[in-house]
Amino acid sequence: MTLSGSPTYQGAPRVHSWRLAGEAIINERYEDGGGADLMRLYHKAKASQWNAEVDVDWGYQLDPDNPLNLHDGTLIIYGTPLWDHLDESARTQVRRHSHAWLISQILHGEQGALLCASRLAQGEDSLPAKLCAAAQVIDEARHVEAYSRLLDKMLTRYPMSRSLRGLLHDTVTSSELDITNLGMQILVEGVALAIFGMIVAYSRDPFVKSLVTRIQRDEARHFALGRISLEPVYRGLTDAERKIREEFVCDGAVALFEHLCADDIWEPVGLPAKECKEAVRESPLARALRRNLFRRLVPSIRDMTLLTPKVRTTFEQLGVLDYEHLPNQAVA
Amino acid sequence: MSTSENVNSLELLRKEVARILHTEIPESDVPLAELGIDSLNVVELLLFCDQLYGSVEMDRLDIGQFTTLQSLDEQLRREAARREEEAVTA
Repeated sequence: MTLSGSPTYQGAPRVHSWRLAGEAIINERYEDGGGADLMRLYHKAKASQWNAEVDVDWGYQLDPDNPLNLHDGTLIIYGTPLWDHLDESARTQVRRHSHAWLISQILHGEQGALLCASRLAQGEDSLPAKLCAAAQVIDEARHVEAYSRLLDKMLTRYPMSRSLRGLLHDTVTSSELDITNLGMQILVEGVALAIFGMIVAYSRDPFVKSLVTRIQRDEARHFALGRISLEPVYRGLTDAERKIREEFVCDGAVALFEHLCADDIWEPVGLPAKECKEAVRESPLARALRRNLFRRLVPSIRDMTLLTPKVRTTFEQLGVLDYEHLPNQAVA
Repeated sequence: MSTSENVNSLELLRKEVARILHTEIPESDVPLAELGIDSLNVVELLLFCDQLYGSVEMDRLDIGQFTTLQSLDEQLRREAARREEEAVTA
């Protein structure tokens, strides 16, 4: 059944206001300028549009006790002694809050992506990149609409995690457009794809699977867009420019690693926050989520020539450097 | 296979199985049934194979409890080569 009434908020919803830097560019050259791959993605984006209002059956009712209908093995606390000692009522609370937290974070990330795509549409000087960014704006608007409506069906809403807020702030407000592109299309879209992959693979709810699969296809295109537009830019970086990007990747990787730990849900469900935070960092699901995230991220960073000694050290500390040998996933 | 030619896919597969199962790196000739793969981590393993070998069409593979990692790797590489050939001739 759908939960009735207004959703509760874990903390009053905030308005984050960030001052932007950068340029708005109008280019009077309308040739594609060697951007054939980007133009293909743009045409594909137009052909792949869907309407969240009419293409999704919003009358569908989620299970209030397990909204995404996921196996308990997908809860970050699963497999820890803390989980083992919970009674069924407490486990239900963990399921409800975990799913609401997850969808809340995805929703905030989608709104951040909307801002970043808008910035790219303003600041890119090549026509193909500008058109792709513009197409992405409507994709992200649709995702905000869809996840907001999905969240309406859940018990509660969560604010942006501290890690996500920091990463989005640095990504949106960077004066360097490629850093906005890198942070959004590779890091934030990377974590989104890891989570969507998990939901699609493990959810037993046809509505949830179908909705997330649709969005996943759009996101795969955005991730491909980031790689295609950034790889040539990064081949020509100076050492000083590369150093700034490698710092950004290292900080972003650590932020994503922390973000996935869902530290904000333990107090609302009445569990000891400090104990839970420690326990979940090495829980089976935390390790699986990180693997899913970095399997995609590390080969992309490698292909963008950003796998520098400093980045390698960070990935090694996170235990994911081995993924440098993996192929990159096929372009959407 | 979408990976570069010099990637040792069997080695990567063995390492990832160890990561997923949180165990030592298994030998190549250990049957899948002895690895302790459950319904949850088999999904993650398939997602990994999807990235390493390209889209996996499970019904084209001959997988059972006695299939070893080496045999799984060989089947997936053959399947990847078949898909590549199909793509070239299409």
